[in-house]
Amino acid sequence: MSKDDKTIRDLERQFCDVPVPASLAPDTVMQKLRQAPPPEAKTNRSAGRWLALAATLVVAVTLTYLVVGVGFRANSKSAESYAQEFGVFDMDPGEAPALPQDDMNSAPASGGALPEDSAEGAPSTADAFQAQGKPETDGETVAETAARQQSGNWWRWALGGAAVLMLAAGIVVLRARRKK
Amino acid sequence: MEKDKLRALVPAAQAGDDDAFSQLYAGCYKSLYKTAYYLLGNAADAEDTVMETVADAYAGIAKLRVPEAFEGWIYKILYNKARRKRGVLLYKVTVELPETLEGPSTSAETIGDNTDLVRALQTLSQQERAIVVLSVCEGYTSAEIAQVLSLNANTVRSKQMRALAKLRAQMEPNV
Repeated sequence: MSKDDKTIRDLERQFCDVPVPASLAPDTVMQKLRQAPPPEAKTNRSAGRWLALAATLVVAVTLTYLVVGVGFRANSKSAESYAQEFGVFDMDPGEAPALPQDDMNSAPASGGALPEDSAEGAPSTADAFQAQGKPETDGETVAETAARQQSGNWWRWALGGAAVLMLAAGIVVLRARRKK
Repeated sequence: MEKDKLRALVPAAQAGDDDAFSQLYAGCYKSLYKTAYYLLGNAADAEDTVMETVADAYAGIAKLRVPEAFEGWIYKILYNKARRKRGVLLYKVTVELPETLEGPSTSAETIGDNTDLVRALQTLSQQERAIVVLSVCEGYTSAEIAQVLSLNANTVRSKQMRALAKLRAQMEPNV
């Protein structure tokens, strides 16, 4: 006889029958079962699961959108600033961008000094626009555009905050259900 | 009641026959309670667990696809209920009695003179305890236990060996 077999024999001797409470007698239990409406708890539980699934989906989609959307916006913003810098927004459709006349005419034939505006400390294109008070596009200055883009992000923060709150609420509810 | 007779009642119970379900329950409630008692280590939680198990079985027996699998199915419900209850018990003991953490059996109302066995069982993991109780107490084969616990039969056998070794070590003076 192996050690395990011997242990099983000993355990079989020790596993005595347990007196079953009267409340679990078949008649009593069947009476309770007939009185209780069984589908209710099941419905609540499945509703809870659907709610949890929906909340998870909302959180996942929101977080994905925030991460990807913000990155995409950052990329498109830099493209826009390039466009502004090269004056594409000021062009009429079909009009080719003209090269600046002064660059063509004033360029030295050979060995000349660099133009002054490319020297160190020269104002940037955006600063030059600001200095001239020139509207960037649609009558907005660069600063106004930046401010508008900043304020346009409030709903992202609101959505992200709501998603995080929903996640926190879900965790609290689940913990409360486990404690019951 | 024999297992075959029990299984023959399942289709009637699935069709909504309360008497058939009552007979099914009468044929297995003592085993269910005994299993729950040794899984949880106290009488009150075992009683609750069996009641919840029967309520779930009553509500869902129509969905049971294979009538022959009734016993495995109801034991699976019982095991899952006991596992959840055990988690809650451990949480309560951890939170409320940090110095006297010895598992749920510390507050258990133990029965008979097998207190040592009940305590030793509480040192096993959920699965190991279920394997020992179902195999030794109820005489289930490793294949049947594998179905209840959703495990491989070989895994059940190796876990059983480990559990028996732990119990031997725990109960050395008694076994």
